[in-house]
Amino acid sequence: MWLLAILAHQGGHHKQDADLLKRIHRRDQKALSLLYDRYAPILFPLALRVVSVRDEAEEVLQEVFLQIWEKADTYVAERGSVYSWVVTMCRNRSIDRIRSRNFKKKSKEVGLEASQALSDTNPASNPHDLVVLKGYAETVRTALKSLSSLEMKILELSYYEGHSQSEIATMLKMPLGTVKTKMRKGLQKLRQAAGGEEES
Amino acid sequence: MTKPEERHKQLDLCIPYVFGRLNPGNRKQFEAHLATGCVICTKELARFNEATALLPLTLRQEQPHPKVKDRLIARLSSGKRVSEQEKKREVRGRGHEEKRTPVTPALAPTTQPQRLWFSYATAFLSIAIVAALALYTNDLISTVGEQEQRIIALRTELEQQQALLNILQAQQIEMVIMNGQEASPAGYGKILWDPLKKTAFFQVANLPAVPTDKEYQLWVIRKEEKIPSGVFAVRSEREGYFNVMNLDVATKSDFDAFAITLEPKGGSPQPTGAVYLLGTTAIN
Repeated sequence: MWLLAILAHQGGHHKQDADLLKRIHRRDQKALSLLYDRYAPILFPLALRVVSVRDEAEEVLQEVFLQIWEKADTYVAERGSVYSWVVTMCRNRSIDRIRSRNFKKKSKEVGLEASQALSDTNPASNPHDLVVLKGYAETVRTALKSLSSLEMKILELSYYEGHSQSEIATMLKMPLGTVKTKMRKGLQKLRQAAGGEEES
Repeated sequence: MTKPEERHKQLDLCIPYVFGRLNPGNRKQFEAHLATGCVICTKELARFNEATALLPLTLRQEQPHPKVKDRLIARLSSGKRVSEQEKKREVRGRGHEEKRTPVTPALAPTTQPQRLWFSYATAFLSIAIVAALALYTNDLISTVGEQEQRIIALRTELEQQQALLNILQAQQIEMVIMNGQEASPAGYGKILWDPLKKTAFFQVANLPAVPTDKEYQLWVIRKEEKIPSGVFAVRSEREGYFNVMNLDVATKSDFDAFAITLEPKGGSPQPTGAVYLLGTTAIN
């Protein structure tokens, strides 16, 4: 079972999320507010990790929820959970921003590393959500340990910094084919270690 | 519905699609393929979407400023965009006391005409300097914007050249020359590919510009089968076009020809328009 399927079953989030999206499509602001409370604590660090500047990350976050407001009907359940949909949206918007504004040159206000411990100083808006998030983060961290440092590095360069496989191959001075293989392996390991299905 | 053997060709596009690294042509092609309802690719895509979505869970939790949500709700309510000025005001004031620049005291009334004239002159000069600086800053912002666009274009070009270099460095290279057909006698093109890594360099020239609702589509022809392999547009007459793409063909013995047809924007599952370029493996 997927890690997020566990999330869905334990917290009933998946069905709740899908219901929220339907309500958002019907222009229910309360539903968007609930979705914001649930996922802003995850999306904001993601945007911040990519764009590195707090104000910019907050703008990205706002744009993401405006996009959800406008595009709730474009969500396709067969292509993943609502959670993965909003995360992908946030990641892509963040990457677009650094590509268009060349934020890579800006000094980072915060040095955030993947796999860092969750901070206790910024509690989630809902204590139950905080416990749930911490539990999953722990599971994901355990899953990430099954990845080699190279696989993790390649995933981070691609996911958080938006580099293409060719760019990563040049940066790490290795063949493009190796980068592709490592990336695929890394994702498969992540899926499997987190409880995903075995590769066919 | 896509044939089973074609589904697997599209599977390789899942990861670059999830990471947003497919070129527009391949992205459209992949999305068109997903729209056909391919269960295998949809499931694979869902798996990779879920896997990558796990990564942010490990980041240090950070809360956005409460104003972000307030601003979002305000925008939904008003249906308008919050002005940039308003945003800047909020940013400046957040989390700490806003730094206040000492206000220049008002000019004291004076009975000395010379001093009054001097004060007016100073004020006028200050306004002129501020206006000039504003114009200069605008100009700089515009220049920086153009430079950033240029950097993005150069980076894309460099990436394509690097990919081309990788193909040329491959142990084995295949090439097919494409010639203009009746619809485009002056057109020509070529495809070089690495049959092991399935990456290809694709170049065409002298093709007529296409209307905005049309695109050229590349086909791999294998006996009676015509496999869609990407779309592209040429927006001005005589414009050269090249691209690096994934191409799931091995050696020339595995298929009969490459062809380029004019199709509705986004491409067609099967060719419907005239053939503009054709390159057969028998001749090449």
